Amino acid sequence: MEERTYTKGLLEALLFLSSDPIKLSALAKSAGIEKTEARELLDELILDYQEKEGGFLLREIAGGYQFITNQKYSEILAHIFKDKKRETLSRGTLDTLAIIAYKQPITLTELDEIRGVSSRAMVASLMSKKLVKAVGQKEVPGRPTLYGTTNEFLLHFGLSKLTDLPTPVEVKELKFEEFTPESIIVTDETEMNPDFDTSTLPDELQEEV
Amino acid sequence: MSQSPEFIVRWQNQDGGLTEGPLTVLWSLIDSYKVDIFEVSLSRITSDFIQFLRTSQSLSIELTSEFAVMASHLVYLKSKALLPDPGFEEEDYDPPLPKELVDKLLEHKKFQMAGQRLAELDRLTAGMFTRETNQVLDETEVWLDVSLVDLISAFNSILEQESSNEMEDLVPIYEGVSQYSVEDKMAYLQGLLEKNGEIHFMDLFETEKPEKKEIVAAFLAVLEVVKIRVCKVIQHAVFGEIKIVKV
Repeated sequence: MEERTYTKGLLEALLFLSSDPIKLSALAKSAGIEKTEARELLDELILDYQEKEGGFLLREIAGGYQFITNQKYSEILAHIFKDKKRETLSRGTLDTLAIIAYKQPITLTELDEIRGVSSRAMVASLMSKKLVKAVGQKEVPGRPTLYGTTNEFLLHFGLSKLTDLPTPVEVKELKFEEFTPESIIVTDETEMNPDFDTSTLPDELQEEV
Repeated sequence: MSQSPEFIVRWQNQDGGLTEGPLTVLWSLIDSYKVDIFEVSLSRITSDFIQFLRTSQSLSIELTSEFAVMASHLVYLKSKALLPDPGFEEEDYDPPLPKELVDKLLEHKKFQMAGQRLAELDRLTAGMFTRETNQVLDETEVWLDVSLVDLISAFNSILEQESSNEMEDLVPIYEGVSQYSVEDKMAYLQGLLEKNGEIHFMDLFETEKPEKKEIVAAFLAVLEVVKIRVCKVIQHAVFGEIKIVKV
């Protein structure tokens, strides 16, 4: 038991020292333990910080583990650290990003079809922000480029993997009166999306999922 | 005329013509009717949409071609619905929106709402900070995918090392066939891969000081084997070293 506490503390120290998310394999290797044991200890650590409800939490982000400030202080911290605060994205950009995130890999034409407007400029801007990248080419005439989200996308939104994205609400399931912004927030954030088909993702994304 | 001034204001308050398309306008119109989307009348929405185009022209909103396309599509759908249907006798039948347009609108709305949730997440994470330290855990397993630009710059650095060969002709005219062919390099590369599973970039050259011809052949060979998906090229996150590994 003694040694277990020691290793758990060591993992905590490693995470405390690092600014980037650390992968499970790297943590296990550094601490000299098996991955399964490391995962168990890390899960415990995550719970410890959750129960403490303090200023920061341990979270799984972009396939690694990282300390990050508690979201309940998000607003005030954004206010205090005005110049460090990240710019938020525009609505049009976010709508485009949402389609790419849920529909990836997707071509520009398919994107335009859903948005009803040309998305070329929007995709270029998302690519320059490194949130979106070309992931391949569709095997149809013209071989159009397919786009998907990047690791930075996960980092940006504090997600561990793509399946952690909030489940899209089927509009048909809503009554007409429910088409209000409030109704959108209600669904459970942690719920996994059963319709999210990961098998169509390119290999590199498969690993992330 | 259901189009209220309030709606126009909302439209103008958005990020601009490019971010909001005709589908958004259609949806707003349907929204203002306060009926279910499956009961929206095709002729009503067509005339309202065209009315919207006229009004917004006078408000000097820059109109994109997409709006004109949507308007003509609506008129086309309406004209099609007006054609006599032998199996349908009712006199004043008001056709609803066709299914494909409804589906398109619902899909559009679905992703708009998903975008809205991403916006909330974006706002939330913008205020969530991580520690800023420069301690890096030796993550030997972090290998990133290499972009074409990285590859070219890697080759560039090798070419620069070899500046002593500057005067050498790239393609010697008199020799006829070049000593190094891309095919040979590919075979050499694949042979090495079979043996070792992975090779470092510098292993590609037979000598310490490769000639330009060899460098060029090696570069093309790497591009070729990546293209035929025999192997992929990865780069270490920390040291920037480039490795070629079997897929």
